[in-house]
Amino acid sequence: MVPDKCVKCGKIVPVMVVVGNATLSAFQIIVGMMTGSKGLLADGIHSGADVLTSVMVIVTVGLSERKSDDKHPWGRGKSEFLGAVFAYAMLLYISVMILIDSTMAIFSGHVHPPHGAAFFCAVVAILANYILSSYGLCVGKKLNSPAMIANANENRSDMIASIAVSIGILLANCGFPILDPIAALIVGLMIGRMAVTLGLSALKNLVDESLPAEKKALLERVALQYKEVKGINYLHTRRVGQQAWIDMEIIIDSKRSVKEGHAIAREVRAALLRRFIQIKEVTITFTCKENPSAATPAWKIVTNKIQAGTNKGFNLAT
Amino acid sequence: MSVEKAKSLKKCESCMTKTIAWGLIANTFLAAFKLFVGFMGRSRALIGSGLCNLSDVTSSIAVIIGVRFTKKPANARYPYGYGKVEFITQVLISCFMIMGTLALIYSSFITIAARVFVVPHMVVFFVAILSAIINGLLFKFSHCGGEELNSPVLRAHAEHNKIDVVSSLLVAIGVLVARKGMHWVDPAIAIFECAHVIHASVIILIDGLKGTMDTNMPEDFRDEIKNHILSVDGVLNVNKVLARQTGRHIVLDVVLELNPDLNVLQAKVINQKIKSLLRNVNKYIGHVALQIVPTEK
Repeated sequence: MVPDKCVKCGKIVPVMVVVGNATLSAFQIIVGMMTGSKGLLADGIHSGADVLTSVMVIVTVGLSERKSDDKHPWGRGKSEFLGAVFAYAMLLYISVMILIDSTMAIFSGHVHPPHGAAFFCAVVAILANYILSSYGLCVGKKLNSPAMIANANENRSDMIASIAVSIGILLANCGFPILDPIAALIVGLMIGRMAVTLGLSALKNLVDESLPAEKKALLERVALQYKEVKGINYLHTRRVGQQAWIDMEIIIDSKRSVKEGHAIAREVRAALLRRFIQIKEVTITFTCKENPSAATPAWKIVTNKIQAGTNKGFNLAT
Repeated sequence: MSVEKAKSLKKCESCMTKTIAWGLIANTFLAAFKLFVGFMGRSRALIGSGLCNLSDVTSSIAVIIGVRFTKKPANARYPYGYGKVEFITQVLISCFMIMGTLALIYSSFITIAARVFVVPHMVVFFVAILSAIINGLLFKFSHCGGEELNSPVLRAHAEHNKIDVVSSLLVAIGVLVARKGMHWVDPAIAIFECAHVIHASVIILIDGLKGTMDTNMPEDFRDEIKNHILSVDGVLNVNKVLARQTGRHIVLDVVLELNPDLNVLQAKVINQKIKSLLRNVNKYIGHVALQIVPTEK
């Protein structure tokens, strides 16, 4: 049982992380510009990147939670990945700019050490990131929320960047001015890495990448629990926003009727939806192992029966 | 899909790859030449047109990457294939086009505001005409290929080639008019051209975004599919047809009613008939999920 205190924290943490990072980012960028510290400026952008992704998630999740309609029968969940691709493309651009700027500063030779105030700002950033990340980790672990844990780890990496920047500024003032742009270079690389890895994962989801193999195995296991299900012909999965869309074909005994097959398929669908909350919808079709050409004579008799039973006309020539 | 059809598609595909490669080379030269002559001959419009060719080059590269991906067959990690890469490259192409033209609009406004007009050289006129002819041919090929292969990215690329034709012709006209003494015409044409390019790019962009968003196909298409399925023996009713595009291919999600007393094997026969019928009438139909519900008696 999760304590009430943690549930309350769980509601506060996402808001606090966004507001905290936004304030921190603005503070770092302003101080970085005033003191002329490239490292601090890059770190400010790094903190701002988190805010950008959080805001984007809030906006696109709102869009993807709209009910699916005739035009978007699969929902609008893919907009989350589209938003992510655009946000990370922008971040990649920013990181390249930082890299170019700091490399040019390193090679040009005349670098002025930043004002000492930048150091204090960097220390504040370390503390703020430490508090945010440990708070987020505590709540994330208690509530078992991967998103919150990922967010907290993000702040951990921000903290490491801030440490690098503060060391850079400190040593820059001790006679090694080149260390400040080098710190900026490191932060720029960190932003670039984040943009590329997260951007690629969003792109993969846009191309309908399947869920990881172990998740698929879990789904198969649930379906195979039913003794009527003899096997699984195929299992296609793809992500639509935070949720997954499942497309599955089960193999059942060829002697069973369509009515029974439908009942089994419905039951498997219900079981999957019960078991995994992150499934948006399940499409289950059924088939059998046997080769159908052997059944052709029997098939003809049955069509005639249907023809007698319903008003629908048949074109027997085809 | 019949063997003959598959063969003709393959032929079309290899012809397409060649066209794109030639287009890439031709447009690289045209862009370099136009930018050079544009800077020397001080024609804003020609510089703009050169940028247009340059964005065409990036778009060709995107098309080549996209087509290479689409060819990869579906696998366990990508059960629906790589078709949607085409939509993403399409979005990319339109973004390149928009960015390139925004830069040009800015520079054209500056020229008009600063009133530094220079009479462009006649060389500009001939380059523009040459570029119009080359891109006209490229358009013809990519348009045909886009329709034949049902490839969204090729269609976007064809649109891009068309823009190049229009922009080159406009430049040619602009040069002639400017030489008659109306100097403001050249930058003004550049601005007009940009508006046109941006309009076309936004259409391509929205199209690509729709593709990645899993939009349902138009109702008349779905009705047609429904009627085809209803024509198969044993199908009593079709309750739902959903269709989405993964690049060139169409993924169908159908709910149909069968007699509840049929056995599974017979249902399988009907399913296979439906699938082969659908693939015969429309060669772009890929994965089909046929959900069967028994008819209530």
